[in-house]
Amino acid sequence: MPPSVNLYQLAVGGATQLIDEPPEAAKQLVATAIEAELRRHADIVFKPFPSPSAGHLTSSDLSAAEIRAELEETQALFDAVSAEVLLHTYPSDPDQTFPEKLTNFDYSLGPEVQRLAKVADADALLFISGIDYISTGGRKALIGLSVVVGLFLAAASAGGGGGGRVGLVVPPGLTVISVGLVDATTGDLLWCNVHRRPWRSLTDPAHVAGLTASIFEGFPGNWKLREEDDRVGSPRLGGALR
Amino acid sequence: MLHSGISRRHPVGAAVTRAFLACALTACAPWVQVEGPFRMESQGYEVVLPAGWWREASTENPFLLTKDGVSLQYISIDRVVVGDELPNTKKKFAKGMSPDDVAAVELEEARSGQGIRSFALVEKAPFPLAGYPGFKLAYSFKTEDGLRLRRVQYGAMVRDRVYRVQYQAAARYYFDKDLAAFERLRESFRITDSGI
Repeated sequence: MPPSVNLYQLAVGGATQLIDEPPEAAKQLVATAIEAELRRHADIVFKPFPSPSAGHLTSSDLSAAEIRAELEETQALFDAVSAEVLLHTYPSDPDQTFPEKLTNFDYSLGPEVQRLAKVADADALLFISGIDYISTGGRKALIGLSVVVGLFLAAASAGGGGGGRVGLVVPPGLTVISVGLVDATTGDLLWCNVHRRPWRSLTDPAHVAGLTASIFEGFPGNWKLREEDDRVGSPRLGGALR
Repeated sequence: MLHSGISRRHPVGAAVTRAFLACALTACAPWVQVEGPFRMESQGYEVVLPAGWWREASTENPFLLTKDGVSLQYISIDRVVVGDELPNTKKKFAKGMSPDDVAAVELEEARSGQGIRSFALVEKAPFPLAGYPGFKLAYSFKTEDGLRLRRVQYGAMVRDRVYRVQYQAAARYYFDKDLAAFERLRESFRITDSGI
């Protein structure tokens, strides 16, 4: 599917604000990097999602406007699902983990994805989301100050024999990429990976390449989408990397 | 923002940001798995909780349940004191208001939430809650992220408080999946002596 990329400014207090500029360059970088990763998997036939404005969408009854609306709504649901996957199935904070999701990973986008799958003529759809939280100048200054103060406190603690753990932590900005492979019939999330890293940018080709390589490290081969179909390997992914 | 209790921590449309920042910037309340009879003495109600859901152990949100994550679905119960200003419309409930008038205020409050798009009312009807004359509202809307949500809200004024029992979920897949569990919870909802 067309990658969704959003850039946010992260202020001193932690408030976020969407940057209005269309992040086309970042989208293109993410698309190119992910397409390169997919080429490494011989068991997958990747084909781009057709442009809604293309006049040759004969396999679908949807108009171009309807396809755009479907894309927006489905991508928004994927964004929400991948966010909850990160929050509740990744071990960054045990208080937020829902353990049964680790054994019964039942997140789904619902069978409505069939409409897009028909347009793409695909067995599975690959959704991609990228979010960049870019620190404002004020926040960067605060981060710099926190490092200086942290070093000073660490030195004071070491010298004075203080037993307590002292520190001032101002989290930097974050870059997040999430990728999900979705069954084109049920909408079930077959595979999902979310990576978030500080001090990265989706406008930097090296950062994007590094992040996407990390994401696809665990991408399984020999896809078997549905038991009853006994279709092993070579799912056609309805992505849209243009 | 939609409703005072939930909105402060989980503004509509910011769920993705909240999750991606994943407690890095602000402390997140822990979640505890719950099931069965549950009594909220400080809020004056009791309810039977469905199996397989998680409750946010937060003092800020009195009662918030989810199964897959708050941006995909939640059940919440809260109450508003008559005379308190509502966060979006700044309107207030008045003692003795009819259920229909309370529902109208609630509807306007929901419609005025920050980031609400494509709001559509599905149902507004009288409906008893815990044996008290009340109302049912059902509506859908989109967040600023483009996520379409559906919400069912039951409410009733009990003396000088308006109780809200509501369920919100992504319109696709998640709403239908857990609606029955919510309705069973709503049927079990009772106002206790401390709430009267």
